[in-house]
Parts: sequence; structure tokens; C-alpha cells
Amino acid sequence: MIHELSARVVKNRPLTPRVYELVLELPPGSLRGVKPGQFLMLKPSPTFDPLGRRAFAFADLTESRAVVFYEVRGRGTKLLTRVKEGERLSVLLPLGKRVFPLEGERHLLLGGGIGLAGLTLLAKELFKRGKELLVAYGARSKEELALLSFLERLGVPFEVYTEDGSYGKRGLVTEALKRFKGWTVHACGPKGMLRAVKEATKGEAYLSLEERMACGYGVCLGCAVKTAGGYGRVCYEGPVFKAGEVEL
Amino acid sequence: MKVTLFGVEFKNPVWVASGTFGYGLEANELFPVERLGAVVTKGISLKPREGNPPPRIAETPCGMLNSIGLQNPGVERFLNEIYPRIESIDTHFIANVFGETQEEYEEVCLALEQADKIVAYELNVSCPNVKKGGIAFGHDLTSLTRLVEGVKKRVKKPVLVKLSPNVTDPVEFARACVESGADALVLINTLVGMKINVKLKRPELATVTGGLSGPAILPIAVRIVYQVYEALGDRVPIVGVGGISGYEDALEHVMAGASAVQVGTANFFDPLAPLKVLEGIKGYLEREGVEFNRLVGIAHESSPLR
Repeated sequence: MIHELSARVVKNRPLTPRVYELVLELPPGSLRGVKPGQFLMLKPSPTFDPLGRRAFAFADLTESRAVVFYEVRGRGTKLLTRVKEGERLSVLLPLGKRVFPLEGERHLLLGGGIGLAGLTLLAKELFKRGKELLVAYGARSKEELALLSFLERLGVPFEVYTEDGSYGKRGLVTEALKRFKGWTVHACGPKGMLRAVKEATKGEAYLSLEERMACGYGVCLGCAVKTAGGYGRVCYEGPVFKAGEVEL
Repeated sequence: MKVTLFGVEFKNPVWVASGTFGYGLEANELFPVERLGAVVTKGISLKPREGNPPPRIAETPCGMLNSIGLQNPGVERFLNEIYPRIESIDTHFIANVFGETQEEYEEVCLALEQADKIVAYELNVSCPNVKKGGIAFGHDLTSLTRLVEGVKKRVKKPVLVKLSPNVTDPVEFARACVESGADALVLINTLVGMKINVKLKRPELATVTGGLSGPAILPIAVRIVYQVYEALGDRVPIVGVGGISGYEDALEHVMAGASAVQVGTANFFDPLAPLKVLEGIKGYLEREGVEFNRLVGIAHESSPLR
């Protein structure tokens, strides 16, 4: 079942000028069964303007709390920054039917920018199951590593890439692919990065996709992604796709 | 709150609009779809349609643009793969039917004649997002007349026609449908609009233009329902659709002349909206001590506020 719930904002604070951490308190039990790769949609404002909900990955979960990271990109996310602790937001969850596979013993998780937030729940789950894993987190520069301290607290093995070399290894996060041949690859990030991951893994990686989305539960057909069998819905046939199945 | 329209009894007058509810299967995970008066399906065509490339949607003030392009598996796969799964849902289904030619409209309806769950057809002659068919009928009185007459001649089930608001005088088109034998009118489809990304200096939608829907279009829909009811209200029932997200919006449609309403875009941002509309109308009827049917077209009876 999918639920529309009223969530209490426990925390909504900037980590960098553009990236915020949002913690939502939900009715007990409503997060049970949420799988890595699934997402929620929340309405940044109860008014008609902006009209739609916005989709965010579950970056972390506890019994009754969901952690979300968001980047300020447009009017919706700008309004979201003004929501104060203690206020309530309407959320729709859990969304997404196809999630990250947990099979396989060795997993490489590639997160580009805010895309890392789409992988951290997976990292926790794989670690809990005793799998060998490495998270590679990439950004343009040290200043943009908004999720670094969150990643450190997560307690999973990770390495960091910056394009300008101002922190961690210099280069793109896809560099890590060269050293972990044969591992199951999961990726979330900008489209250019996902294209590179698709090519380097010959279509074998699992990608969490983003597309403009109105409903999140399969009825609007807005979030179309081209697959061999026609357009699929990111929210329903995904959001996780095998790279070889989709045109990027 | 039962209503009987074109010979069919509906458990209530709150339905969901085509293209905003799939075939009723997805939303069943959110609430019991059988509580709705009817589900109008996503448009069904004779052959499968891939739909338009993304980006297909864009947000606008109090509304949104869409250009999905009638993506659907075609009537054959609908009957084989989807229909068996909706048969157990205890409410009526109305098939939204689309064709590139008159023959295609007729073929799709004929293919659905034996499917008992489908109680009526809603001819889509008003989708602004496909190159051929649809709006070519909805914007031309001669082809519209021929289409409605042709379909009516060949099918037994009631035929509803969903009309375009993108014409100078919707009443002309409504009249043509009624005179060709349409059993009901569905007013309105989306309005043609566009949005430009100022940063990138180019259109937001892959097809440049799209159909505007959402709260922004409520007053336009209410105006058209009102005009058509004024001219033809004694001839056929009107189903109001456009901008409904709460029960008061629905009641505006009803008081303008709609005997039933469809909730559309609100399903996206407020998935429980149809139930809220239904409960809201019930509460209003109780408070006002009035029957639903008494409200249909009631705004025509008295002079405007002064």
C-alpha cells in the first residue's frame, strides 16, 4: 500500500548554500518495509502554486523518521527551505516498484553530487547483510561535498573524488569502476555520469533514474524513459533500471 | 448519491478523468477505487501508441502542461492484459476512445462492445498532443458530426463526447454532437499552452506545446459547462471536468449544469482528492438539506450576485 501522510519536520537545515538535510517524523510503522531505491513525494507548499509534489530518495530511515537531502533547484525546493521545524508536510510513500538488487557479494556504489542520497540506504542495508562494499562519492570540489559528514557517520567503506582534486582523489567518481571489476555496480547522479557508468559497465550497472514526475505512482505517464519495450515510467517500472535497458 | 445518466446507474457522480488515473489499477494501492462513481480509462486506440518523448510535463502557475501523446497498449492488449484485472473492481468503467480516423474510433468501440465492465465510450476528439486524429474531429463540425453519427450507428453502448475548449464557440460543437445522437457531453479537455525555460531560452516540452490542466482552468471549464447547459441542458447530460480539486470546485461545475464530475489533475498532487470531493459534496447536501439532482444547473435560475 501507498500512504498519504502528514509528516512533522524535525530538521530542515542547510549543509551548504544549496543542499539541505530534511528529517521527517512519521506515524510509527509507516516506514516499515521501505526498500533501498524507493522514494517519497512531498508537497513543498499546501497551496496550488507550485502545484506538484517533489520526489526525494530515502537517504536514511529509523523506525519513525525519514532523512532526505535536497538540492535547491527551482521554486519548489526554494519554498521547501522556508519550512520550519515543527511544521507539517504532506508526504506520499513508499513509491517506486523496482529497487536495487541486494544479491551478489561485492557492491560498488557510485554517487554523483546529491545523487549519493539515493544510495546511502542501500549502503547501510548491504553493510548490515555483511556484503563487501565500497561507496564512491564524487563532486566538483570540496565545497560541494555536502553529504560528506553524513557519509562518514554511516560507517561504511567509502572514498571521495573531486574534479579539481581539492579533496580525496582527483577525478570523476567513475574512476572507481576501473579498480573493482566484476562487482555489482549501483549508480545515482547526473545524466552524464549515468551515461558514462552505462558505457563502462557495458550496460550491467543498476541506475536510479530521475525524470520530471507529477504523480509518483504510475498514473500520469510524465516520467517517461525510453526502453526497448517503449516508454517506461521511472516511478513505476523503476526508479532503478539496468543500464542496458534504458536510453539515457 | 446515486445518479442515473444515459440509462446507466452510477453509485455516485464523482468520477476520475481520462489520462489521470491509468486504468484504475495503480490507485487501488492508495484507496478502494470502487468508491468512485466511475473510472474513465486512459485513452485507448486501435494500435499501440508509444507516446511523445520527454520532457512530457511542466509545472505552470496553479496548473501543469502535459504532452503524453496518448501512450497506450492498444485495444487488443487492453482487453487481454488489463481488462481481466479491472473486472473485479466494483464500479463502472468508461473507455476513453481515440482514433486517427473515423474507422479507428469505430473499431475500438466495437472491440469493447462485449466487455461488460465498460458501460460507455468517451470519444476523445480533443487531445491537443497528437498530430493526427483527435482534435481534427473536435475542431471541425463536419467531421465531428460524421464521427458521432458513425459511431452511434455501430455501437449499442452510450456514446459520450469529450470536447475541446480550444474553439471560439464550444456550444456549436456541443450542438453538433447532440444532433448527431451523442448521449452525453464531457466538458472540457485541456487548453493548449506552452512554457519557455528562460535560462535555456527554449520550450520546456519536447513537443513545444501541451495541454494545460489543474486549478488554473477551473473558471474556463465552469464557463463552458454553463454556456452549453444554457443552450442544450434539456437535451443531454453534461459531465464536468476541468480544475476540480475540492468539493466546491465540483459543485461549481454541478451548479453550472454538470450532472456528474471528473477529478483529473488533482489525482497527481492530491491522490485522495476524488474521495474528498465525494465526502465534501455529501456534507454540503446534508448541511443545505438539498438533493444532488436539484443542484444541477441551479446557477441558471437566479440572477448573479450584486
